Amino acid sequence: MSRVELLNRTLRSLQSGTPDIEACALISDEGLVIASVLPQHIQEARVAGMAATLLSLGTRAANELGRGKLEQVLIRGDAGYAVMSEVGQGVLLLVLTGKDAKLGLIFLDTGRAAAEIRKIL
Amino acid sequence: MPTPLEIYSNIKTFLSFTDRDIANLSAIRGIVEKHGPRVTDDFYAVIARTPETAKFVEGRVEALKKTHAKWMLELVAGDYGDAYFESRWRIGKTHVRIGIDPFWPESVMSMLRSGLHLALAQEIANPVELSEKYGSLVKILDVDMMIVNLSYAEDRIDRLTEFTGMKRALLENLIHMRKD
Ligand code: HEM
Repeated sequence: MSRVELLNRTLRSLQSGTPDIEACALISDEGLVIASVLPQHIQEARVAGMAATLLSLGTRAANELGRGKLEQVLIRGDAGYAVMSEVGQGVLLLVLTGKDAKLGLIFLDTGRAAAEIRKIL
Repeated sequence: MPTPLEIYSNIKTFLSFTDRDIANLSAIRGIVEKHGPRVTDDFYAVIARTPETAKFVEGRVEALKKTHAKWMLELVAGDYGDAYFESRWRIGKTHVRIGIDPFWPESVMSMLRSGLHLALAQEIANPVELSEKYGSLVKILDVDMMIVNLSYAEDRIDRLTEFTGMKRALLENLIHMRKD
């Protein structure tokens, strides 16, 4: 199985194993999609650009504001959450959830998926 | 993305900047030497009476005129290789660094085009020859301006990269992303 297939499989099992996760994607720090499980209506290129931008800014802001090394960027809207975290050198994992998602569980499952992704990368 | 030096080379090809242009430019060296100081005086007079630009040159106009005269002679020195590009790129960076907005050099370039056109017209009687020589001069003036503009554009990206931590490639991707 190729690396992309392995990554896609990891993303699919993250999404199907955690009902609150609606979509997820692996994105490079240049804003390009590496692998994704995103609904049809989402424009991959835009989402990738946005997520990479947010993670870069988050990293800068955490440092500038004396919050140390960035662990994740969390966006909360009235329809749910977007969680971004760096899972490897220059690679970020984006996860979208519904508004009633249990964040503790999301963090746990994305943490596990991140470890698997690191092995594949 | 091509490097600025590659862009310089592509622009010269695109404009058909050939040996003929180089010969034309070398041939008008005497005219530029003779009339250049007047053209320089004219544009420094405008810079000095405009508050937004005067503040940059206060107390150093005479020294700057000398640097400018050197720049003008390089236009007609016949060598347009990598070193030429490097010198223009550095000049661009110098203006960026001190915070001169890009439209000021653009405006000065407009004065240089007309000032040098007049200088050629005063010395070359044959209209076809005038047009031919001016054509080569305006090519190199415009190429110079493009290099300066490239360094301004690069500086803007550098500043954003530095402030946001975003990679250059990410910013380039966003800039080139389709809107729909
Ligand atoms: C086409 C337009 C222009 C050309 C060709 C030109 C040319 C030059 C050159 C060759 C230098 C020396 C740079 C170096 O060797 O690093 C220079 C420096 C300088 N120019 Fe210009 N210039 C232009 C427009 C302007 C304008 C519009 C201003 C003011 C608003 C200006 C203000 C200065 C200043 C202040 C410096 C000295 C910078 C420093 O080293 O502190 N220039 N320019």
